[in-house]
Amino acid sequence: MAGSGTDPTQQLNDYIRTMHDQGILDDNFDQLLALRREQNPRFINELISMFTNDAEAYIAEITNALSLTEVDFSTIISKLHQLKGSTSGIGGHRMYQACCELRVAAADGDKDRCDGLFLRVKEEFNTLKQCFESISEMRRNIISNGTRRRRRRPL
Amino acid sequence: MSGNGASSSSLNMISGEDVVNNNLTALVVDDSPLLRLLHDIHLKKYGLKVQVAENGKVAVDLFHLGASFDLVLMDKEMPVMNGVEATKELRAMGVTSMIVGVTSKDGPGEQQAFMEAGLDYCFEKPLTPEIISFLLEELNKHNNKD
Repeated sequence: MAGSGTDPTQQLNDYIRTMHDQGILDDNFDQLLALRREQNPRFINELISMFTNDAEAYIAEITNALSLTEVDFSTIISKLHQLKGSTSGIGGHRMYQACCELRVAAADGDKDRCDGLFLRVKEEFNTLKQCFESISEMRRNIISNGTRRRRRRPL
Repeated sequence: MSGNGASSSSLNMISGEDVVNNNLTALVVDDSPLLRLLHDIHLKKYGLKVQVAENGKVAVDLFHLGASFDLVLMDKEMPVMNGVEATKELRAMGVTSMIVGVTSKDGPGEQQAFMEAGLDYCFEKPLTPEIISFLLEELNKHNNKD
């Protein structure tokens, strides 16, 4: 009897396409998926983990710089540059755009605008993290489905 | 092509398998660990021997110590010494490596100022496999002329 529901690989492909349509991911993420096939199976997870850890550190430093009585705009710009680079590398399109807008506000020395735009950066980061978590979950399902099928194969 | 921020769509696309070269060396200069890793993996895929540096000063110091590289991928904005300063210094030292700038997407004048420092090409980061293929093809052509 054929299994009910969508094939897990198709589900993952559809999900990634949706993320593209919503502007959450861009082609740079697809480049990583292409690299994954040539690297170790945990490559994508390691890269995502590196991105997440770095992004959280940069966000913490920006939070600190924004909270000072004399806002440290140069630190904000410096950390944003690094955050933008990582985000672009991982393919986080909307988060990258949010970082660009925040950078403009920081360069203008506009604290109020920075506060609002930084909120957006953090929201987009959370969205991106959830997206990566969903992708990881689907990939785990694909791997475990593949393992179950191999076990069921008759001798 | 003069390399003034050429887009990947204007490049002659060749298969990566055509330019695998085990003799070429590359230096990736970028303050982002993730981008260093990405470019490192992309270049190694084509058989290059890759070293990384986290800022322009580390890159310049490597050359001062006698290192040489066929290809240098140079980020623009870095702490300690940025890509523009590092490129100017390398050219002043007489370095003839292909130096390729990598910039973020904003700033219309960004690539032009960087090119004037002595770059051969300048592209948006991260570099795609198509752009890397193009660069390696150009490197191979250049090496074959010598």
